[in-house]
This record gives sequence, C-alpha cells and structure tokens, in this order.
Amino acid sequence: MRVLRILTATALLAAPLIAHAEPRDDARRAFVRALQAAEEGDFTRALDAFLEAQRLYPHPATMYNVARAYEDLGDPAQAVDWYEQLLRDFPDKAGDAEARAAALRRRLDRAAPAPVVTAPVAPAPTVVAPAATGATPEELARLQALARELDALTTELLERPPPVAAVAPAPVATPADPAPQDSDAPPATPDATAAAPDVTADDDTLASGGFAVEAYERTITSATRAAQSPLDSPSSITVITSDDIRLSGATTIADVLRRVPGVEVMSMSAATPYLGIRGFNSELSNKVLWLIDGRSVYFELLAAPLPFGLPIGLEDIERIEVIRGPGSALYGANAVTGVINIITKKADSAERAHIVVQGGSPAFLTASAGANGLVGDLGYRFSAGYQQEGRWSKDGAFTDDDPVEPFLENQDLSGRTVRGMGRLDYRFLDKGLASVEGGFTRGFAELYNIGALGGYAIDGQTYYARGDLSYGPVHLRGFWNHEEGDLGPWLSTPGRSRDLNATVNDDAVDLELEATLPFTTGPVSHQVNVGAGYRYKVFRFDYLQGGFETPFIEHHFRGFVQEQLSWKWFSATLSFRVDRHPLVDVSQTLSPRGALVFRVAPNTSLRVNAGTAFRAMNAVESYMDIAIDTPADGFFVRDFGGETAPGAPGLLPERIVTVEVGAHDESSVFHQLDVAVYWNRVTRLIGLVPVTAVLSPFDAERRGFPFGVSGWSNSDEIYDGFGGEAAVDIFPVTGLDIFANVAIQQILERGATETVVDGSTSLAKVNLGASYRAPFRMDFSFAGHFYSGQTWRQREFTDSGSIEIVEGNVPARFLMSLRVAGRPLPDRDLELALSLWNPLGFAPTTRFREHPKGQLVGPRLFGTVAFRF
Amino acid sequence: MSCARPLRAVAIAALGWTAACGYDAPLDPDAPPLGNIISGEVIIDKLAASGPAFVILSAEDNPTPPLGRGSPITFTSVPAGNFEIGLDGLRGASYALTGLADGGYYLSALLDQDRNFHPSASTLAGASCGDAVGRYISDLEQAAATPVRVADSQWRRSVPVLVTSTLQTSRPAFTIGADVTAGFGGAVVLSSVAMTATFGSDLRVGIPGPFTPANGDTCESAFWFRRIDADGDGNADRDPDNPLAEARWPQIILQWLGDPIDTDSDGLIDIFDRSALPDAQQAATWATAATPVPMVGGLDVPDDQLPPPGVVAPFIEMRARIAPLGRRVDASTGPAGEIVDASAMPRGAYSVTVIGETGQTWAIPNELDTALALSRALPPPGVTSPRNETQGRYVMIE
Repeated sequence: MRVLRILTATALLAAPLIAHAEPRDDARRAFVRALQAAEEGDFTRALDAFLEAQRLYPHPATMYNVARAYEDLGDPAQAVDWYEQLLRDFPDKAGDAEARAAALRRRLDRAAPAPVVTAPVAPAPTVVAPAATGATPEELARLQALARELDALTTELLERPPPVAAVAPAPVATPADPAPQDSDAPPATPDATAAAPDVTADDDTLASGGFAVEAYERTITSATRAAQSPLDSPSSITVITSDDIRLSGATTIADVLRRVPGVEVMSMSAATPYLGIRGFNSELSNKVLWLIDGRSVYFELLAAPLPFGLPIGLEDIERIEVIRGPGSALYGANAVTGVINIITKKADSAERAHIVVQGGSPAFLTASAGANGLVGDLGYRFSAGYQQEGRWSKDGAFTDDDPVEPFLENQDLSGRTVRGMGRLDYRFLDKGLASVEGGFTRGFAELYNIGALGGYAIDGQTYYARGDLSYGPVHLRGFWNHEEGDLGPWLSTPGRSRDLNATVNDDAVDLELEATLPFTTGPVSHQVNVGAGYRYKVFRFDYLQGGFETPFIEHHFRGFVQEQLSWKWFSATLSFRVDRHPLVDVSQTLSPRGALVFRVAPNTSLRVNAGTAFRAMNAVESYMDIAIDTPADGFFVRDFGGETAPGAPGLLPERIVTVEVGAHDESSVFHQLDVAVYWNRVTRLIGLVPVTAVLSPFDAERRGFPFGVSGWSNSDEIYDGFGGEAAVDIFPVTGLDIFANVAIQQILERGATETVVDGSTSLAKVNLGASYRAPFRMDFSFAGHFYSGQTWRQREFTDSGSIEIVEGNVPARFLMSLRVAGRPLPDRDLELALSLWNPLGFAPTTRFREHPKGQLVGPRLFGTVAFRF
Repeated sequence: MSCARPLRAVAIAALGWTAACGYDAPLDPDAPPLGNIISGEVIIDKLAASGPAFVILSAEDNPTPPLGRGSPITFTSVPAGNFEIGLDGLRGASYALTGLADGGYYLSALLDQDRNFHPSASTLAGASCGDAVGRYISDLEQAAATPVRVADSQWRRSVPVLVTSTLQTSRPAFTIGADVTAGFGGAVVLSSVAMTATFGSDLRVGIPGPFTPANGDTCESAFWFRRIDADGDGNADRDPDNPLAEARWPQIILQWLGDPIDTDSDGLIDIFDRSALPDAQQAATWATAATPVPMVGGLDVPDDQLPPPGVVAPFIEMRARIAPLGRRVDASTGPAGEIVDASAMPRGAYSVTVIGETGQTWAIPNELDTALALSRALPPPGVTSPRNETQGRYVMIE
C-alpha cells in the first residue's frame, strides 16, 4: 500500500501538472473562490481552489494560503513543506511563514516516531507540485523524496487526533488571527508589511495570521509613482502583463502595444516602429516618454525612443504600463501624450530562467536567455539576447555599378542587435534595498528620419548603468545612458557634395532623490512625495554646429511634489513639477496636474483629471547646423537649430493641456472595463519651416551655393484633439481571454485663417483579440488592429529645391496576428509555437504601408522554441 | 545574407528558419527611381586652380549656349583644393553629377578663377574674364561636344571634362536704351525703371562701361558679333528657330513669362496659367508661353559696320531685332501649330537673355554694372539675404 501511495504521489508529481499557460486571471478567479470557501469553513474546497490557483499561476500569497489551508485541515507536514518552499522562493513575501513553519516543525518533532505502515490508511494526500512552472528532473527527485516523507507523515498523522485548528474556521482578511492557544501553535505575525513586496512589484499583502486576501491584483505604479490599484489611478492606464506578451506572439514591444486603446503604432520598417498616443505620431515620434524601471530610454540626441535598440527583450518584461495623457507633472519633459513604463522581471520572479529561440521569415531570428534568483539577501538577474529583422522591402537591388551605396552592407536586414544586462539587488536592514544594473545594446537598424532626410540607418551601441538605493521612505536613483555610433542615409549617392553620414556620441547622467511621507489628518490619509533631480547631458554630433568635435553640454534641474489624499471612497491627487532647462525660462516648464477619483462601488471608480505637459527641444532642434543637398547638387539648404540660427531666435517647448473624464470597472472577476473621453490642446509644435531663399557667395567649406535657409521653429497653429476610448477585457471561462477596445479621435488644426482636420491621426482605431488556453496543453491567440485612413502632410524637397508641404495618403488598414502554441512533452517547460503576423503582407495586392514613406508592411511567419523554468 | 552556423544549428529547431536564411528583400514597386550618376574627372591640365570648378549639365535636346539656348539642369562644384596631378600627369579632380533622370546630357565646365560665379545671380551666372571653360569631348580630334546618355539607374564613370580655354573678354553688362520707347505700344518696366515703348520697335542693347570683375582685374568687354556661316558658303545661315531671321551671334531671347500677376506679393510673377487667358489671346501666346525658345532675335549693327558672314567683330552697342512670333493653332493642331508672324505682342512679363558665341550669357537685370549688382545681389561672404529682395528678373510690356 505504501508503494501504491508513493506511486500515486509520484504520478501526481510527474504528470503534466499544467495544461494551461500562466493565466493570471483564471488564477485570480480560483483564488477568490478559495477565499469564499474558507470563509464558509470549507477548507477542503478552499485547499483545492488554492491549489488550482497556484497551478494556474504561482503566487506567494497563494502558496501561503495553501500552507494555511493544510494547517487548518490538520496536515502540518504539508503546511511546513509549503511554508518552506515559500520561504525559499519568495523570502520577501513570506510574511509569518517562517514562524509558523518553525512551530509546526516543533510539533512534528515531538510526535512519536511513525510506525511502519501496515494498517489500512487514509487516501494518499493530494500532492501537487508547489510550483506551477514544471517539474524538472531535479525537482522531480526532490518531490519524490517529499512524497516519501509525506507518506511517513501521513501514517503518523493518522494516528493522531486532528488538531483543533483543523476544524476551526479561519477568519479571512482579519488581522486578529485565531491562533491556537497551544504554546506550540504558530504565532501570529503582526508585521503585515513584511509580506509586502517592493512598490514596483505586485503589492501582495499577507494578512497576519489569516489567509492572504490579495493576490493576482493588477497593480500599477506609473500613474502616481506609487503602487495602487487601477481603480485608484488618476490617469487612463493600461497594463500589459508578461502573459499578455507571450500569448500575443508579438516579437517587438511596439507590436505588443498595438492592443492598447489610443495607441497608434506606425511601422516604417520591421525595425522602425514609431508610436503615438492620442495622435501626434510621426517619424522619430517624440511625444511619448519611454521608461524602463524608471530610466528614460529615448535616444538622448533626439529625445525620441528607438524601440529596436532597447537593452531588454520581451522575455525580460514583467509588465508594461501605458499612461494615456500628459505626464510631465511626474516625469518632466517629453511625457506629452503619454508614458510607457516598462517594468522588468525581478530577481525573485517565479520564472527562474528562460531560453527562447524564434526563427522565420523574412530573415527573422531572435534568441534570448536569462536567469534570476536569490542568494540570501542578494538577488540577481541576467539576460542576453539577439534579434534580427528582415527588410520588408527595399528600393533597389544594388551592385557596385549602381548609382547608390547602402549605408549598411547587408541589404536584406532591417535591423540586428545583440544585447545584455545584469542586475543585482541587495536587501539590508529590513527596509533597505540597493540595486545596481548595467547593460548594453550593439547593432544596427533602419531609422526613418524626418522630412526631407528620409530613410536613414544607424549602426552603434548603447550602454547604461542604473543604481537605486532606498531605505524606508527615501529613495535615491541614478542612471547613466550612453549612445554612440554612426548614422546616415540608408542610400547615399557617391560623389554628392555633402556627406550626411555622421557620428554621434552622447551621455546623460541623472540623479534623483525622492521621499514619501505618509500621514493622516483626522479621517483623511495623505501621502506626499517630494523630490529633486539633476540631469547632465553632453552631445557630440556632426549635424550640430561645430561638428562632432564641438560638444554641447546641458545641465537640467527639477523639483516635484505630489499629494495624494484619500477619504472613504474619495481620493485626490495633486502634482506639480518644475524643470530648469538651460534654454528655457522656468515659467515654460511648470507642470501641474490634478485628479479626483471616486469609488462609486468597491470595484468601480470614476475619475476626472486635468494636467499639462511639455516637450523640450532636443539637441538637434537646438544646435543643428547642416547643409542639405537640394535636387540641384550644387545648391544646398542650410538648416539651423533654434540656438544656432542667425539671430538665435530660440525655441519654446511644445505644450499640451488635457482634461479627461473616465471610469474603470472591475466589479466582477470576469471582466475589466475602462472608458475615457478627453480634450487635448497642443500648441507650439516644433517643426522645420519652409526654406527662405537667399543669395550667398560660394561656400567653399560646404562645396556649394546656399539655396536658402531653414530650421526649427514653433508653429503658430493650435491643435485641438477630441476623443474617447472604451476598452473591455473579458474572461468568460477558464482559459479564454477576450479584449476589445475602440478609440475615436479627431484633431483640428487651427491656423490663423482657417481650421482644418489633421488627417495624420486615424479617426478610428479598433483592436480586438482573444486567446484560449486549451486544457489539452495548447494555446490559440488572435489579435486584429484596424486603423482608419490617414492623410499625412509633410514637408518635402521639391524638384525646384524648395521645401513644400506634400500630402500622402495611407488607406485604412487591418493588421492581424495568429499564434498556436503547445507543450508537447510531459515536461511542461518546453513550448513550441507557430505565429503568423500580418498575413495580408504575403500578397502584393493586399500589402499596405503605415506611413506614406514607410515600407510595405510584410508578413512574419515564425516558430518559437521556448524553455522556461 | 550569411547564416552563422551556430545560430543555424539552434534555429533549425525553430520553425521557418530555412525561410529566414537566404532571404532577399523584395523590391518596393512604388519606390522612387534611384536616378543615374555621371562621374569622372575635371581636367584642367596646366592651369592652376585659384577657384572652384563647376561641372554643368544640360539636356541633350536643349543644351546651353553655344550649343543651344537652354538652361543648365544642375551642376556640381569641385573645390580648388581638390585638383592634383594624377598618374597620367594631368591635373584634375573628380566630380559626380547625381540623381539624374534617364536621358542624354551635355557636360560643360567652368573654372571660376576669379571666384565670382553664382548660378542665381544673372550678372555672375557664367564665365567671366579669366575663367576657363570646357566640356566633355569624346573625340579630341573632332572636338565636338558629345552627349552622355544614361538610363535605368546607371552609373557612367570616367567621363572626363576638359577645361582648357581661358576667356580673354568679359561679358558686357547691358542696358536697354531709353530711345527705343517710341516703337512699343505698352510700357516696358525694367526693374525700377519704367519706359514706354511701342511694339515692333528694335531693342537697343548697350554697354554702360567696362566690366569690373570681382577680383579687381579689368578685362575688355564687348559683344562679339558674328553672322553665322556654318557651312562656309559665304552666306549667313538662317536661324533654325526663326526662319525669318539671319543666324547671328550674339542672340537675344525674349521669353514671355505670363501675365504680370503677383497675387502673393512676393515680388515675382505667378506661374503662368494659360487657361486664364482669353481664347483669342491663347493662339497668339502659345508660342511664347509654351515653347522654351520663344521669341528669338539677332542683335543688329549698322549696315555699314556689318562684317562679312563668319567674321567676328567687337561691338559695344547693338540693336535687337525681335520678330514677334506666334503659332497659328486650332483644335486640330493644339499647341504645335505653324509659326507665323504675330500681329501683336502680348502684354506681360518677359525675360531677356543675350547669348554669346562663347557660351557666355547675359540676362535681365544685368543692365547693372558689376559693382552695383554685387552690392544689391550678393551680400558679403558669410551673410545671407533673402533672394527675392535682390533684383528684378523681367521686362514688362503693358
């Protein structure tokens, strides 16, 4: 019989323990069901549901509750095992597990030695792998040993009367845990905060003594720089989890973000996606601030992100938070229409390592590997990756006899990067955390430049270092970004007088000190964040005045304060930030924001907010001085920045003011709903002005005659944007996730004499998708994105050499993706997937562009082999 | 593309890797044409370059003077410092003309020794005294200009441009004499100077004084007059563009630019819109508006000073004989109707260009002397000024 039980336990351990992927929302439903059962005193049902939740999505709170359920069912051995595993895997989130495990161990130690089992016994305990990420050979061996131990314990327990606690109903979500009066009973752990993770991770709190009541909650940090529920967010925000990313089959962060309402992704090429939020997308899009763990990751020279060059891969991402609306009150310049905050996986991530290889057509290949873990108080995470994307289309097939020279030798690739990063976290003195991180990216990519400069490519590398030091409410952050490389036109013409190939080298060093001060005044609780920061920038670029040898140095300072107060169902957020930009008066960078949130129901909130943001001129807009060929080679146009133009007229930051009303609803575990309507007013957009013709003598240095001068200037037009977004996520049955959202927007360009519709923003964007995680170890995903037609008006060189506005139409388009994945082997760590992105790209007749000057968007058919363990 | 073997080994496990390998990006059917390149060397041989050289391109079917009366299409510059003696013992420097449409082109060159060439300033848009000129010649013995033809994104390399002839005379500035007013029926407005003239009268072209190059040297300036006798039969040839006139150097061209409409008040007349003209006027004006070489005339000299055909003689004052032409058009002929005498000279603005046998050209408003032109047209080095504020560009007949 003992053999039978061991075999049973072993079979349970070795069997494919999970038929699903990591369905966080399914796990959440099981978790809630378990809590309800526990509240009703049915701990057997509660245990089953907790185990199901853990099987679906490992979570420290669930592990704790499994242990607590075993405790209450009178199975201290199982409880100890789960506590120990929790302590081993999530030491920071274990709460009072250690004390409870110790007490239970003492109890077990005092128990009489187990006799040899010869008598009939109760059914074998339900042994389920404590982690849902699979049973590796090592883990299997450990679990088999555990089964043997459990077998002995079961025998021992059968001979003992059930403890009182096993039948006593345990309170749920009450701080006063009915701890057994027995002196050996596990003590209650009053410090609930010990179970709280850091503020950037899930804010899962273990109730002292009772069951943990919070798990699988979607938590955001970007809207106020503090962890909070989306229900309390003062801004429109969308969270994309690592599961969403994996199930989507997307290969780039930009494609992942296509599903976010109001986000418009414009892929000029496979390696050149540009992203806008609520309009104002463009080449080198610079209205959205991209952050990775709080570090700005835009190309400093242009203050524009280059997503293909990020030092992380999709496998490194824990979640992405997308804020729609201005964010300068929190993040300063460039958070004009939104913020994309990418939060990477931590050292204590449930997934300990991964190896993922993807390959397909056209010339698509990625490989990534990473590992993380804890060694005592020291956490580590390392990852590395390789990615290449094939070109969707090219302008010609070039040989040495052709009249152009490609910037990059390989004409079939749109981009190729190698990246790596490493991170160490060290916790000290309970409340302290020190974190250091460094990484690099090396590679090349197509780069679609603005206006007449057109198709470019960049070949270079980036390095970064980040450090965080926090102790209690005080947080010191710092990072260093470095970029260097060569860039130039994708196709250059030999013999052309002016060589636009250039070298760039820039650095940014940022330091910020922030303190969080919580306090209460009567029934009102407050949290005040105050901070100050400094950023040093240095740019070297051939396009800037004086050329590469002349560095431009900037010193930026900032200060901010934010008050969040809450009272019953009401909360308010007031934020204010001021930046000291070296080229701008302080009065131009004041960024206030105010928001009110009402919880009209426990899981339904209404919000109204108003805020401003600005985009400061980047280095090119400030310091540029280049000569650009006209169609007549001997003539050139000289382009100046705001600080280098004759008379140095200077520039003012772009400005946006937004008023938004929204609602968020999570009133059931089967859906999420978010709606928002808004008005934006954008002024002082910075752009290239038409050429002013000049007559100047021959310029020997620049080898030609100046045809005219142009440069960067603030426009006089006012842009009023009106729009609304509605998004719903539905989880009707286990394994099925459905999302749908629609964004409607119209932007009016108000000039001095007339008002026209800015056609560069799609009037309507619709996203629809579903994923089904079938019980037979396969996943099916579909996503579709519809964009209504656009009309772009851009400044181009004409044959006469002048720069004029040229219109280009982009018809309505529909981009879809499909993914089928399976885990064919009993070892669930192996996943195989086949993905198809944009099947319309296969047929020349159905191909489309996302911008008049972009490439015809091609398909991507690829397979994935992934080991995650 | 090449496939790294280790990566291949890994990626074979991933579906579709074979598609990734050997990938060839498709061509964009809507991609703009790449254009052609003509490149080679500007050879100046024994000359020492004190200024940049300019290689100038003109269309085979509409070449620049003296081959024709067309305007350059584009040009490129070669800094003086680029010239060096090559392995062949010739002093030269490389050049390239890029982004060219399919077609045939003539290449000429100018070595701007006095550094006063400017393509946008009419007084300076050509070779002046002391400059050297030349062209691409495929056969040195024939010494005939040869077109270079390119097509289908072709790169024609090694096209030498020989710059060997140094000009000994400068282009004379010219003015329109005040005594011609009686012949014109409307008002001729030249820059800020308004004159009344009657259609059909001659236009006198005179030289106000010696040309003063920017470098301070003084060269002789004159109109070099020749009655063309290309076939050497002792008789002056007929002008191929104007069978009613004798072919002569220099020549004068009046090109009708359009009605003097300046709706945007930028100082330049608007682009001509023929549809805005009355039907009766369209027939008479097509010749001047639609053809690149509209109203051609010879420069005349007094009969007693007329040299024999083929003989070159310097003159400092000449009279223009403009034969106003039109095309007799109707619905069947379209704009390609027969050239006939025009009964009236349409009102509007005209450009005035004088072409010399050397290829040197003069255009309104080079009635200004060089010093004045420079002061009004070209700012000091390093300073720019709006081009529209420099000089007028046309004669207006009202």
